[in-house]
Amino acid sequence: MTRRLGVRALLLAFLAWTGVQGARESYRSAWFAVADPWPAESPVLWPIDGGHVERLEGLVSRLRPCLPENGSPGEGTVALTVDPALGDQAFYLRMWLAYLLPEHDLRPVDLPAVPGEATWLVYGHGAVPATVVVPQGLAPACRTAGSAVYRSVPVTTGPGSTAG
Amino acid sequence: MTPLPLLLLLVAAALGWGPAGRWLGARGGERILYGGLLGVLLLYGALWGADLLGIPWSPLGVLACLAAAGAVSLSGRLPYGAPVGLLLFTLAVGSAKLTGTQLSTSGVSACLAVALAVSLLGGRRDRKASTPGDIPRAVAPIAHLGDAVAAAAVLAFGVAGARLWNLHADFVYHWGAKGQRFFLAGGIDWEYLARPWNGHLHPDYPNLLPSLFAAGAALAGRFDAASTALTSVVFFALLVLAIRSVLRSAAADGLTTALGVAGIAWGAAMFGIGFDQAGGADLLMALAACAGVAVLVGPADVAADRRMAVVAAVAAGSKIEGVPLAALLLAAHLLRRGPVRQGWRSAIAIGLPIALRSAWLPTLVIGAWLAQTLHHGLFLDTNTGGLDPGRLPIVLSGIWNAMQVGPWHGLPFALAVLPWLALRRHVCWGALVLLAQAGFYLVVYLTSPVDTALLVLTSAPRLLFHLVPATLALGVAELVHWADGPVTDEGSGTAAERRL
Repeated sequence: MTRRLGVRALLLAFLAWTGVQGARESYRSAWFAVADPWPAESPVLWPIDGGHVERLEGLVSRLRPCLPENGSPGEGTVALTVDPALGDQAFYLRMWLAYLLPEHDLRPVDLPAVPGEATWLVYGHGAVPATVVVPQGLAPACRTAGSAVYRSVPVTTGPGSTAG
Repeated sequence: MTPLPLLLLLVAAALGWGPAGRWLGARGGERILYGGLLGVLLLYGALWGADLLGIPWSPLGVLACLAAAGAVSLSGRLPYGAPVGLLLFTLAVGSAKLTGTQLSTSGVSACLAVALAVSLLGGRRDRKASTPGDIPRAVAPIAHLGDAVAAAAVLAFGVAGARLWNLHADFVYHWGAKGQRFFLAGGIDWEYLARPWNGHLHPDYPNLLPSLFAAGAALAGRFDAASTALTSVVFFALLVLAIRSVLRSAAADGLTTALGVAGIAWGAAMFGIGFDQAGGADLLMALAACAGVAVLVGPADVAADRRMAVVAAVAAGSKIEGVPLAALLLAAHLLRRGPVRQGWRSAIAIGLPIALRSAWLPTLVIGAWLAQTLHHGLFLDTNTGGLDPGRLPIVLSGIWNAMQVGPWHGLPFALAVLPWLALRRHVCWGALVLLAQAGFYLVVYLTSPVDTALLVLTSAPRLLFHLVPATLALGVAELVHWADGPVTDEGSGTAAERRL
């Protein structure tokens, strides 16, 4: 009987501890989302409803009309290159773009990065043909070259970015 | 946000609570747990079959899959006809796909007709339900209060998931990305997975979770992250029921069970909310480990064989590391059933039916996954490499750090009791499985040809989640046995007498 009471007391203490820590984690999680929409510079830590992703979604929605309406997956690929200066962040940025553009295959390619611009999105059917680059600051119109449409999309990782 | 993905998962889970669920020999919370897992598996099987047939996962297609899963469940022929029928159909269509043979519509229809006939007519109906385990007697109101505290943990996890506060990063990086893609493609997009640059999507992982995501999105007409993440609350609720099942199997009384379940549930919620586990498959792994351990702690009977079949199949469908977990659970279950002690003739005579009952479903899930993954060449080179013991200091240091990450609050240090639990009669099989799974993770860290420190840093806290809830449940179960004093019977026989 004493042992059983001891076990119950132990479990009650354990419940009190995990309950308090669970409530703290819930509060922290909510505060993190509500109070700080720009919590992290690195894409690996971006919350899906944070400011960074909102900005990126804006860019993607501007880019989407420039991409052919293939609709069916696998028809074409979006060749993507990210400024090597971003280092590990480039990998995660590419994955964010893959999530936001699920109707296209994002194929990573190495293109010369332009200083001052962090990210480029380039579209091409199959193998990447000649590159047409739309400089940053140009009106969000798309240039077409043959069957392919290209447009550079500068993406930086902070709220001060000129993108979006 | 639309509730349709959540509704789909709930309906699928509810399918297993019917006649097919009776086959599992469970009542109350255990019927919801094992029946729910079975229902989810049935839907997955139907989706997978539709994908093989080229039936798109449109709203109508998903509803047809749900109806097919319901028909199998309601027919009550699951243990006999359905596996044989499924196997025949898989062999026919799968071998045609693998050999590149173009199956005509009439050919596929003929295969399907034969499989359905075998499923529904060939097998005898399983009218005899297994004897359920101990039925809990009425418990004190304070125990219900404990259950309410556990339910609050589920609610907290669900609210965080619905608000996207704890969305798993891997939801964006692969689980959700694949689900979204499958939704757009109307099925599993093997071509997309096989693209050489899509290795970051872990194309070789089993597709249970993304398939459920895609089916929910198909029903809703769009892919919505919050709606999809909310479905994780179903798995979290089943995890809490699995914890409860471990404690009930250990013959814990109502109050002790309620306190233990609530404490461990909040421990899981603490990590699940703080370390963002909604929308990822690690929760499924934790659920499978806990439910498997519950089977290994409970009575070793025919119902246990069937439950183990369901649990091991869920483990195998969750993640690639779920395949060894399924194998370990099955091995422990077979060894525990004990035919090896009776000579090899008896071992075969007794062990074969047990093996067939407990292994057919996971074999089907693993076989289908393996066939498709090999066929499309999806295995990544980074999965395996040579054993490098020199990495051990880096690995151990990384695991030590992972055990101390903020949202864990030191809870993984409870894993230190596993070797001791492995020596205790009542919980030894469950503890051995968890120890072996931990050993498997260690071997992976020592062999993967990638940056070891980064691999441990990014994965160890989540892999610990696979083991911690089950370990805590086993620990409480052993405490219950200790509190009840020496037991001379075979475990559950006097369970009801020991209840308060």
